[in-house]
Amino acid sequence: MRDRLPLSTTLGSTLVDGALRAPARAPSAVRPDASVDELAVAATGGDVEAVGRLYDALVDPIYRYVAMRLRRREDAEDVTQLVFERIVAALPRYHHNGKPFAAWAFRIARNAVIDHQRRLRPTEPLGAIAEPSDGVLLEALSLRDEEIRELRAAIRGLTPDQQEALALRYGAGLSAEEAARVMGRQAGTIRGLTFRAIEALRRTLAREQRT
Amino acid sequence: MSLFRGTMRPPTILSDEAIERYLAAIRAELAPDPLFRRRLRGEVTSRFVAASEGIDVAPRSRSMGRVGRAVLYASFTLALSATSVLAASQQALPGDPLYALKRQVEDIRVQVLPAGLHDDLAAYALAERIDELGRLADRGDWGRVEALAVTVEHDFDAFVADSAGADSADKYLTVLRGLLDRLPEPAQEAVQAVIDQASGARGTPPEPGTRGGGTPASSSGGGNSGSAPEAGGPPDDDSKDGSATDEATATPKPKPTKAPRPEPTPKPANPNAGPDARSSNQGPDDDGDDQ
Repeated sequence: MRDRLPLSTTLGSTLVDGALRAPARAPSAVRPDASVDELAVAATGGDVEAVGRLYDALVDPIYRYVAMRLRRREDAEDVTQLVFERIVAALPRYHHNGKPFAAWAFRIARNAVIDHQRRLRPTEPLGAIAEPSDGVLLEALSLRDEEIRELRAAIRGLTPDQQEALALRYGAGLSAEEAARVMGRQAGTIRGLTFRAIEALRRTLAREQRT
Repeated sequence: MSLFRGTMRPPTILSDEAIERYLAAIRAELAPDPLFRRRLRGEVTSRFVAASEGIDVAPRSRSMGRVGRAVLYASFTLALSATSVLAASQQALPGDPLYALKRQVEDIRVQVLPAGLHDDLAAYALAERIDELGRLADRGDWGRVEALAVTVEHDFDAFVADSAGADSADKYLTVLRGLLDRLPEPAQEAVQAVIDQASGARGTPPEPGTRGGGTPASSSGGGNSGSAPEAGGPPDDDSKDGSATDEATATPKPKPTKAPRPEPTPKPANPNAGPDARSSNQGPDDDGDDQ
């Protein structure tokens, strides 16, 4: 039985005499159960498979975070793509110094979302962006329940920091400590933001049900 | 206005736990489209390989706005058949000026057509990448061949591993078979291994005339790609099956006749010549500042 080499590895080994010398790629040495940080270290060493697995680990939480912060699915996909472009571009400069790679990646995502929102409405504060009157809304595409739609509308009434905290904790599934690293705050601050956000949502929804 | 408002229909006081359940429901609904996820994975790995080879891939241009997108949606079918530029772009290769347009058209197809067709579209797109791989090999553009091969391999593995994608795998297995004799010897082995794995996993006999069908050298599994199904080795019988004709009709486009492979030429210093090079040349303006 012959082990199957990655096509890129095989092709790379044929190019050593060519003008563009392509280094042969060794099979990934990363363990199957490697953590995100271990994958990141391997990726900075040029391990393509580690990059793919890193992507697999991060794409869903990053997309969910971005989609929770933006309205339209196309925007969420565009920004998610931009985030990974930036991650790949910045990987060579990444040095693991004990801080989680995921927090580093989410900082890139957060900055990309902020950039996108500023481009969208440069004169309005974050969180005050009007609902688009046309186009495909995330809600229309995916959310079925009226309550959830109301909740999404209520989220847009929160302060930008509260929205950010909710998106990181409930969209991306980060812990308070991880979200704190992304936002550059203390974990207690994140807990407070989340608590007040949920409290505000509860009040808003209760008021809407009364009316 | 009723004085009894609020008593006739008492409000439901939502608990914090209820809010958290709703938030969890939102999270569950916000999953990325599988095809988007798969396509972006190929792009990420392709970009990484290109960057590690010193090829500066320009950031992909952002998608158009709502109005532009709507206009394009509405006129897409007509435009595709009537516009010579779009038609010409369908033959573009990575590095060509029209290649970005070609990829954009593929993206728009996915967005315009129903989700039920996405697997076929993705299969078509993958076949296009394989076709580009062969034509780049004919051209002797080995730098781009290698970068594109990463995308092809990952996409192929994902499709074969994916039950829905596996139904479409025959289409580009045919293309891969056609590509076999146009690649350097080691690359032929890799492509043959992909074909053997897919054929073995799907229980179909190997295509007659392909080098690896049932030969001891290729009847092996134990691959290291992880996502591809393990092959039990192709069956020993070399009998022809009737599926070849159907597969051939599903091939996106005929291959050019084999041309002698030119010697690799010195690569010009073209920093924007990655396999997925897009129109914009702007660099990433943000990399997450601190770590």
